[in-house]
Amino acid sequence: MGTLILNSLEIRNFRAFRDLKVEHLGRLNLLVGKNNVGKTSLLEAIQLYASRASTPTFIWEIMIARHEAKHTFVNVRDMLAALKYLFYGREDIRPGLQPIQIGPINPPPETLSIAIDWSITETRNGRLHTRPLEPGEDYTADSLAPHFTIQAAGATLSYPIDPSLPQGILRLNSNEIPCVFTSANGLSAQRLTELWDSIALTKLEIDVLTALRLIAPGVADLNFVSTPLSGRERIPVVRIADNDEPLPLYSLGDGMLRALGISLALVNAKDGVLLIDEFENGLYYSVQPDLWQFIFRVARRLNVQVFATTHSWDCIEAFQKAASADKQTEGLLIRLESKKDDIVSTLFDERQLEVATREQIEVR
Amino acid sequence: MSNDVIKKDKLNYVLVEGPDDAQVFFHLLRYYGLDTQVTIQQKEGIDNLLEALEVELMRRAETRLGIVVDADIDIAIRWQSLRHKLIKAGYTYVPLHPTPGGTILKQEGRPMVGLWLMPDNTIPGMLEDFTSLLIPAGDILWPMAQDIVQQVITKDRRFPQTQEMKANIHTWLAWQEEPGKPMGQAITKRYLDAAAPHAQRLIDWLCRLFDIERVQGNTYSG
Repeated sequence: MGTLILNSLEIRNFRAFRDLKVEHLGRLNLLVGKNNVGKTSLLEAIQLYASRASTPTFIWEIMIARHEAKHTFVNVRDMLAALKYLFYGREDIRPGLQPIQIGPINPPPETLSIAIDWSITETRNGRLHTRPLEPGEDYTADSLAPHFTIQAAGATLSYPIDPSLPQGILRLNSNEIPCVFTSANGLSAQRLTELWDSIALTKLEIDVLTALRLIAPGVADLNFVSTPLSGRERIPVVRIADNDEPLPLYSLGDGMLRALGISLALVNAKDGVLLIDEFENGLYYSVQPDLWQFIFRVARRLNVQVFATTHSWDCIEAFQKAASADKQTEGLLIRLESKKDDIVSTLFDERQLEVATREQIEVR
Repeated sequence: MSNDVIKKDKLNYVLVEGPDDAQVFFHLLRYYGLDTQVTIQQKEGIDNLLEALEVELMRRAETRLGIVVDADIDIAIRWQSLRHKLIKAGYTYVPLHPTPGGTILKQEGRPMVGLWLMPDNTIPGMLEDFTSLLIPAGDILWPMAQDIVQQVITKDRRFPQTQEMKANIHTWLAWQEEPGKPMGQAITKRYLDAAAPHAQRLIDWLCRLFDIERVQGNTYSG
């Protein structure tokens, strides 16, 4: 059995988290809590951590997904205004702002740190001299370009905050942790296709088929093809038992699409992290226990650490059943809750979760 | 911050030992117009309630939790077992003895907890001892019911001594206008007096715990 990417978690100055500590993490972690308490933010924090800031655009990817940033910026001021949402307290981005820090509790070398700094180049004794701007100094001059100062997996990186930066796939840091984020609305057709292409004709196809069969037992095969109706886009199609004609998977309902998205994400997160926002979306309650058991089993085999959020009691019960059925894999329920200006976490281990579901104790 | 934006919901729970307790509570709360503000959960017995208490106390901090159990034959022992679990769950100040008017505990980051030991936090007993205190003063059948239960000789008794009050109450209930109504319904039928001082003390404790106001039954009658 492999080791976990994160055995604990501390998030500082990120979104609603001034300093969130989760003392312990399992291989499978189900996050609950009221709206706006930061469940999705916690997934994003793990996504940032896993990215190891390996591209100059890493931070914008999560902001675009939340509609907090546009695909293209025209000026630095807009970029800084968007970044406000990322830092605790939503204060204006200015010199001296506390950096975002994400990582396990204690060992700082692992921790991802994201700061925004300004440099000023001055002439001193006839020489050009560059120094960081101090808190309180004027940082609004157009000539002062801000940049991210990043520490990730022991390395220090600097990325300019610059609208002209290409949205490239340049990888500057090779320590990236595999991470697949399945949002509440599921994955885009393009993303599904990418994930399929990376496992097509491998044994992992079988896992994806297994997941689909939990919902439609007759599924014999899966592929991604372009059809006259889909145009250039490739869409998932399935062959059902003895039927010769493949069916578009979309025609089989939201549950199939969700199972496809989750299982493709899972097998692509080998030795990494799978993030699922609002697990229950599209899933009928009675398929959830089987799907969770599938995730427990495959996550253990492929050494994936899973973080999922839910609002649903059915989902909690299904997770609990799967956790108690799979003795080798630790499942943990984590509740986030606001306490004054902080968010705090409460952990329920498998035994406590068993009591909570049996006794209908509201743990959300 | 987030709480300013997002709606708060009512999280008032009363945990009781069994279905009889739940029924009595439901009808009592209904009499006082409080039934919509409180969720009653029956826990299938005291052992199960005590076992689940650790997790019950892990509910969200904004939850308020009333715990109603029988004092049984030794109120000190029952209190100790509750006290021990509360301290273990992080409640730093738990008094050595139950408060006569009902105990209420506040702990930062934890649900507010109220404790009530049937019948009245001071003497041994159970739910039936509490309901016996709601029998109208001067009721003519009540001494007779107790008397008749006493007349059953030891050899013919099928219940243990500790259950005697149960036998008394159900004998008495058997002689009402509609014989054999359960205790809870006997409140709504007004066989039992929901305005009796002991009932009011219990309701006062609940109102303090849940920070709610009574809608009716507002005056002490005795």
